[in-house]
Parts: sequence; C-alpha cells; structure tokens
Amino acid sequence: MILSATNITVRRGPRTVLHDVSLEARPGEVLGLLGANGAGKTTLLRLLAGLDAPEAGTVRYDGRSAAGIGRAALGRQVAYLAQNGAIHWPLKVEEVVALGRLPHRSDAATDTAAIHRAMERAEVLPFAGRTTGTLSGGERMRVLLARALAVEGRALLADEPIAALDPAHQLDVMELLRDVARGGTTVVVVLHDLTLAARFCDRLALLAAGRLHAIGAPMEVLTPGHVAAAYGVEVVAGMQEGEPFILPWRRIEDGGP
Amino acid sequence: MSIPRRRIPSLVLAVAGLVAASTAAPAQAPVAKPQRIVSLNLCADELLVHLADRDAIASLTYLARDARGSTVAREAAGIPINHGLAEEIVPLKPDLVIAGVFTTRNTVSLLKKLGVPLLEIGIAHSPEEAAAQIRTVAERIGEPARGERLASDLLADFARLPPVPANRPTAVVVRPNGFTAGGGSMVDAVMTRAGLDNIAGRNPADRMGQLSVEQIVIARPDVLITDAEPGAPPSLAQEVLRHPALAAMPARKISVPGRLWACAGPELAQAAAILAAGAREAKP
Amino acid sequence: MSRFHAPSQRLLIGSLGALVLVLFVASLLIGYAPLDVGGALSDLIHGRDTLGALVLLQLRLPRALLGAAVGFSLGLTGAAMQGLMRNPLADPGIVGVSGAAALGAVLAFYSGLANVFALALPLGGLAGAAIATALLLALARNGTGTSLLILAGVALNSLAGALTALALNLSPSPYATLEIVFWLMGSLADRSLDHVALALPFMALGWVLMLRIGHGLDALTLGEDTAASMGISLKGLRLSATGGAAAAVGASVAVAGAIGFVGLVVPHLLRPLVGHRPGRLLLASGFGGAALTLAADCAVRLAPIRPELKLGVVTALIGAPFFLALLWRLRREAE
Repeated sequence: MILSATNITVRRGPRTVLHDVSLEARPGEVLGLLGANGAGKTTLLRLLAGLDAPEAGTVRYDGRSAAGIGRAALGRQVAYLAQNGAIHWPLKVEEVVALGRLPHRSDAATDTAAIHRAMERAEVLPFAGRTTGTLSGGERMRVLLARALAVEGRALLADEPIAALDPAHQLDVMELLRDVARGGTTVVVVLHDLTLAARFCDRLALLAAGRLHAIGAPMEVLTPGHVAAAYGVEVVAGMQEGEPFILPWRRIEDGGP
Repeated sequence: MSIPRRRIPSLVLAVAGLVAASTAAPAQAPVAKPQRIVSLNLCADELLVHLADRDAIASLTYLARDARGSTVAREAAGIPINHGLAEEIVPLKPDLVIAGVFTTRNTVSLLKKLGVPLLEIGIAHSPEEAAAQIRTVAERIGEPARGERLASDLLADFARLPPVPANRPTAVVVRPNGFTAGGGSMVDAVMTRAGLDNIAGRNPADRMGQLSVEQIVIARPDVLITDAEPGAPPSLAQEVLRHPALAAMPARKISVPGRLWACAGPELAQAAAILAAGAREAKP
Repeated sequence: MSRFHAPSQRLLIGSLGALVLVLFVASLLIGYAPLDVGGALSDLIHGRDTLGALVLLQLRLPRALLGAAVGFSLGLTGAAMQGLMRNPLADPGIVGVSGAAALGAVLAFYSGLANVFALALPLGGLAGAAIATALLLALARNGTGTSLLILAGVALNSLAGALTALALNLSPSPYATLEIVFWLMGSLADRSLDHVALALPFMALGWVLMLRIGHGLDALTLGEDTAASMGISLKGLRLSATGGAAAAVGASVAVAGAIGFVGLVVPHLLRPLVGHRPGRLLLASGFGGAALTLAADCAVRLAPIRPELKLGVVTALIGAPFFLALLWRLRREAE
C-alpha cells in the first residue's frame, strides 16, 4: 500500500506542529521517521494511520482517502502500534494478540493461523498463556507488536517500538520490521536510534520543528549537517562490516560548533 | 428539621395509639380565663377552635391551616400561626400553652423553665377518652359548658350508631406508606363501634406497624379503608394506596380522610358513621 | 478472535442464566403471606380470578421481574462503564450516576409531572443519569485515574444527594422527606406491573446499546488510539455506552431507587472467569447483577426485620467491604 501525505499542516492552538509536509511510503520498504522530541513525528504517524485529520493537506492510501476506504476497512489494512502502548486489563498474551484480528471478523481457522504466525514472528509463543500483568517491559512491547502483526495489514505504523527494549531485542524487532517489509508491507517506524535507523530503514524522513528537513536514503539524510540542524548534536560516524554507524557525541552549544 | 416531617409523628402517633399517655397535666386551678392561648399541636388547634373564643387564641400551629390534615382549616385562616419554635412563642406572652405529649418537646421544656402555664394533652384511644380530653381542655380554658356540650354530643353520636352485629365484617386500614391502625388505637375503637372487625387489631405485632400490600391482599378483608385524598401531592407513601393489587381486591373500599379520626373531636362520629354505612353494605 | 475459551464462556453464561432462573422462582415463592404458588399459577393460566392469582400476578411477579431487570441493568452498566473508563471502580453508584438518576426521578415525581404523564418518571431518571455520565466522561478522557474517578463520584453524589433532599423538602407532601431513604437506598417493595411496563422498555434499550459495544471495549483494552486504529468509532462507542448506561440506570432508579454496589461487586467477581475480557464481561455481569439483586431482595424478605430493610442496605453490606478491598489493592499496585 502506498501511503502518501501531501502538503500536511497541523496546528495545536497557536503552534504549528506540522508545516506543509509531504512524503510517501511504499510497499516493501521501511521508512524511518526521525526528529527531536516535539518535531512532529508522532503527529505525522497518527495522521498516516488515519487517527487524526490534518487542517490542510491530504493523506491517501493507494490514492484513496480514509473516508473513501471506510473506517472498518482501513482498520484491516493499516496496523498501528502506539507509543508506550497500555494494556488496561490483565488479559492473556494470546488474547491480546488475538485483538489484532478484531477488525477482520473472519473465520476461526484464518484468525487462529494469523494469531499463531504473529506470535511466532514476535517471539511471544513461549509465554502465550501468561497474563500481561506478569510480563517485563520488553515482553509487553513484543506482545503489542505481535498484536499489530496479527492484523496482517498492508501497512504497519509503529511509534518508537524499540524504546523500551534491551539491545538484543532492539535488533530482533528491527530485523522483524525489515522482514515484514520484505513481505510487501509498507512499514513506517518512528525511531530515536540513529544507527539502527541507518542500518534497517530503506529511507529516512528527518523532521525538524514541524518541517520535513530531509528525506531519502539513510546516509543522505544522516549527514552531520542535517543531524546538527535537527537534533543540535555532533555525531561520530563510521563503517563497521560495510554498514554505517552513527553515534550522538556531544551537544552543539549555542553559537555553533 | 424539615417542615413537613413534624406532621408525621403527630398524625401517626395520634392514630396508632402506640403509648397510652395521661390526658392532662396536673391542672392548676384556673385563676382567670386565659386570654392569650397558644397551641403547639394540631389536635389542640382543633379543640381550641371548637371551644375557645376566637379572641382568646393567640396562635395555632401552621398545620391548622392545611385543609388536607386539619378539620378547622377555614376557621383557622385568620388566626396567627406558629411552627413550634420557642422563639415564636415567648414574645406572644401566652397565659396558656397547649402542647401534645409527643410533639415539640424542646420547645415545651423551654417553656416549662420559663414558667409559662402549660397543658399537655395525650392521645385518646376511645370515644370516651376523647370526651374526657375535650372536657379537660374546656375546663382549663374556662369554657366548661361548651366542653360539656361537645363531649356529650360526641358520645351521643356514638350511642346512636347501629348495634354491633355478632358477625362483623373484617376490615383493615391502609394509610400512606402502608401504615395500619392496630388494636388499642382510636381507629380500632371507632372501627369496632362501627361494626367492623379490625384484622390488624388481632395481631399485637402489627399494632402500629406497616403492612405490605401482599399481607393486606392475603388477609382477605371484607372492607378496605384508605385515606387516599384525591388532591394529595405526589409521594411514594400515597402510591401504596393506588397499587393495582389493592384495586383488584374484591373487598368493599371505603375512604376515610385521616383528619376525621386523627384527634379527639366531634369528627370522630363522622368517621364512625361512614364506616358503619360501609359495614352494613359489606356483609361478611 | 473471541473464539478462545468460547465453550467456557457459554458454560458461564448458561450457569449464570440458570442461577437467575432459580432465584427468580425463589423470589416468586417468598412473600409475606403463605401462598400456594402452584395453585395460583394454575388459576392465573386458567383465568380464574382468585386471591392467589392476584398476589402472584400483581405483587410477586412484578417484584421478581424488577429484581432481575434492575439487577441486570446495574451489573451490565457497571461492566460497561468499567470497560469504557478502564477502571474497575467505575460503578454507577460510586461515580454518582445513580444519585443523579434519583434526582431526575425525584424531580419528575414530586413535581407531579409523573402523575400527568407517566413516562416522565423514567425519562427524568434517564436525564439525570445522562447528565452525570456525560459529565464524568468529559472529566475522564483517555483512561481514568482512580483518584479522579472517586473524587468526581464524591462531588456528583453529594451534589445530587443535596439537591434530592432539597427537592423533597420543598415538596408539599408531608411524607416526602421520609422518602429520601427509598431514593438513596432503593427497594422493590410493593412495586406493580405498571412500574415494570414503565421501566422495562428503557432498560431493554440500554441493554441493547451496551451489549453491542463488546468488541469496542475489548479493543479499548489497548488504549483509545489502538482501538481507533482497529476501526472502532470512539465517538460511537462513548455514545452507546453513555446512552445505554443512562437508559438502564435511569429507568432502574426511577422505579426502584438507587441500589448501590451491584455494578461494582458483580463485574469484579466475574472478571477472572471471562479472562478479564471487558467485552465478554458484559452479558455475564448482567446475569450476575440480576442474580445478586434477586438474592438480596429474597434476603430482605426472609430477614426478620420489619418494615423490611431497603435493598441498598443489603447490597452495601456486601459491596462496601469489597470496595474497600479493591481500593486497598489498587493502592498497593500504584505504589
């Protein structure tokens, strides 16, 4: 599914949160959304998920508007993984994952198979029978990811899915997202880890103060100049085993480096 | 304290005959006819209107003007009223205060301390006790002749009632909230004189108790006596009287306004006459 | 998706339904005077106009029907509000919805409006409940903290209670002030089929509205954004829950007064049995509420206390310790 945002503007009171942002996410690719806190990443992701409507501009799904597709159909096609996702009742893990099938109302066998696939991919099968109250932060995040995977939609939008995870699980989840994209799904993910963004995303969109500062291949976007402008930090960058790494190194004081 | 609440005890206690009380406080010999009489009780209001000169009544209770509960609402219209508060009573400088033994107790004890002449009237449980109470009050306010006439008329009215048959129709009184009148009460006495057999009188447990609609229906009374007033303001208490199960009962239904037999007064005979007429038509 | 444990769910609903049936029959059998219920039933069926048939039809049947329907409404509403607010303390009594419904019904009743136009009574209850629910919801968006919910409940309950007392004090009826106990504690004594006919349509409407939102409440387990992303209309969900709660509680309170704690205790007891799924909890809580209310109403008639205890006294005796225990646990979890 081609997700396209065209000339998006969003205001919150007097503040402009997003200003004339246009971008496109394509099937089979992982698009990373980067930017400092408050740059508008989550706002943009929610617009792409159809949760909010922009003041100006349009969001389209394969060229159709959310209204044209319909709320229920959109729910079957676009999976959304919220930041710090809550689980309000102590459900069993497999039941949380099963909620991902809620938009479908398909037959039991189809649902059961999809639920099993999702739990397998997110590696939550070993604790499928536990209640969510007993899980660690990382396990919870993977359960919620499995829920989003169980939708088996044509697009997956994830808001900071690896923020609460240890390094090993961060790698696992990023690999999983790559893998999902390889299957033809459009993946958009909000990230703060520049190295993982560079390694696992096909393209990056860098937001700064509500504007799209840069978009393109990771190494075109994560130049020292762009990173300095977007985050106000100096980076250390290099190559390891033929892949780039980028580490924030020091804050740029006012008045320039 | 809310205003309407005070009326409940006076009505309920007065009719239910829960406790027998002395009909008069030890009477001091009246030096002169009291000229500024204050009443703190609805039953005393009614007696004063019947017995005293209008000019001698300084104040009646506010309840006296309410036609739903008072038999003297029209006569009371021009007389000043009180709400049973000591602050209202003292400035009137009463030379006699008549109070009920169960009502406005705080005011009464304060008036006692201030040395205000006081007559406390209890609850009459039979026409004879009512007549005695009428005479006591009349004596105390210096109108013994009027009292004697009222009392003997009342007793004569009762004497004229048809003789009580051996086989009396059964009856039960349903008041708002499902209250009934049990044995020993004035209502029970009036019913008996009128030729009715009060079912609630048999069981000492429900002397002044509440009866559920189910108990009333199952008791199969021949006569059902209510005091549902057509114009009464809405209340759950009145709803009981309109319950469809009561309406569907085969019993003969008689309505007796509660004000007729709530106090010792000439209206008791009126209540008895209504009941006696009903009893004749409802042969057991 | 809801297929996991579906057989156990059917078993639970079946057993609760059977329990309600048993208690319903028990409620018909228990009364203040001995009644040959079998004979009365046969009289009723054959159209014989006997005393037994009268008692059964006009007194015991409405009482049992209202016990079941009011209980179903309270249990179901508790489950729906808890699912919507994602807080196990959201009981219509505790958060003030029942109190506001009582105020609405009191205004309709004592003003005499209900005498002229009978539907004014349930509609008054409904209006009161709707205003309170809407207020709560406005106050408590996006998952409700326990302290906010309880404080809102305290505020709403005291305001509704004070206004109810004021309305009763200003009422011209001498009995009105005594009747505040009925409105605040609830009772099914001496209700008639008229009350059933008046309230049941509104309750049924509320049930339909609330039973429809099971999927939405399940989705809401993962928060409003996730639920919305799954195609759930949050506005529709809130409207159904609020409207349903207002109709069911408003009509219940209008004919039976505010019976507390049913909506707290029942969902709490049943939640583990439905795997904590808020959607599945709905129907189960309805039946559970009906069972608890019928049982409590049998208890007030069997207890040797006359005049009989108000129903709310019994449910509070059961419910208030529960409430404290629940608060205790939530406090521990918050630490």
